[in-house]
Amino acid sequence: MKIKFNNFYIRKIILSKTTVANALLRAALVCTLLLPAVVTANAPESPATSGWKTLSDFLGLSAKRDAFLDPERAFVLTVNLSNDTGDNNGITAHWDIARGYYLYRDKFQFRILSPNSIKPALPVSPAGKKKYDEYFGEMEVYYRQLDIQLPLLYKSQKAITAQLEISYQGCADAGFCYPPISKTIELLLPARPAP
Amino acid sequence: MLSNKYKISLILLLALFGAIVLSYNKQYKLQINSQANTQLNQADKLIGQKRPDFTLPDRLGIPYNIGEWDGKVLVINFWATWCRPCRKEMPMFYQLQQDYQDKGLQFLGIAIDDKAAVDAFFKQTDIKVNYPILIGDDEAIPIAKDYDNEFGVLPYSAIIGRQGMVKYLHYGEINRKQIEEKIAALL
Repeated sequence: MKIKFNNFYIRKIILSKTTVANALLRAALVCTLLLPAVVTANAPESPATSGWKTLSDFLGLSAKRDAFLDPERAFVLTVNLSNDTGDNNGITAHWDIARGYYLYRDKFQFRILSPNSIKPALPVSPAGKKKYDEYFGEMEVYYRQLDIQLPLLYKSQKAITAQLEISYQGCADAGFCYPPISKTIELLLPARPAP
Repeated sequence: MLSNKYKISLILLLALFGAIVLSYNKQYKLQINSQANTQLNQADKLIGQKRPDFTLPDRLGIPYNIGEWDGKVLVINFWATWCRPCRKEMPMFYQLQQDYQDKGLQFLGIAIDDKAAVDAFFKQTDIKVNYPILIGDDEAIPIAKDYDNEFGVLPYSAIIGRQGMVKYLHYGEINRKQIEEKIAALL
């Protein structure tokens, strides 16, 4: 009985080790297959990684990553009317800037295309990060997120539509830049009757 | 004890895992060196094709057609005064132009700027060029697009062979080793 018990006990251990071995093999197999997808998703795309990409795509596991982003994705602009109800209220332009990309503080331009009765005041922008440029000297740049307030000066008895042009320019730490970007945004501004 | 079958399978899988890691690291280093030079799936379609035609004025306002440099190994470099990595490349281009001009190398700069900005740039910096600079201004962006630079990324270099065929496209800053390797094969 005792021997049988020992045999049973030994058999259980062997089964247990077999289960562990199976689990290890499965884990190693999964890791091996997942690795190309993981490394591809965390690195810029290049011809050198096209093989990984193909395998990852085949497995349906990869997130497509370009070496440089479409500027529309690198610098995502959203414009909202300011909540402030004072005479200087206007809009808030917000940028979500991709990691490793930046916008130059002195390249922002705001222009009201129409109507002429609306005048933009000086934009209010936060201090940026200092960056030295051997040609332009010390420059300020913005990484990650940015809000610029643009007060709009106008009087109107009713809500009016305005065309606002916003220009900005940015680069990437990886060693490349984008040409200036201009966007025209239609605003529906609330009535602001004369007091 | 694990059976030999499991041991061998485990060892083989670990070896495969290790090989993938090592191989990836090697390729990732190569790719870091080439930085942003990669939209090749798209750019591939232009490689081996006739270079797109364009005409732009130089700083004196004299128009030049790209065909005027046929027969040379031409490096077309799109740049701008406000583009720091572009400016970093220029002294190296100067040196390469000097070193290889007798063998038929010709650099050509296309500024995505107006004439006033380009003139001010060369006046205010000690950057010198020994190759033509054409003023692209707003026209340079569509030309860059013709050269498969969809987003107008700067700097951007296109190497054209003596027969006028596009041989190589490079997005972002290029280093001497990268460009010298490409032009040496064509000279």
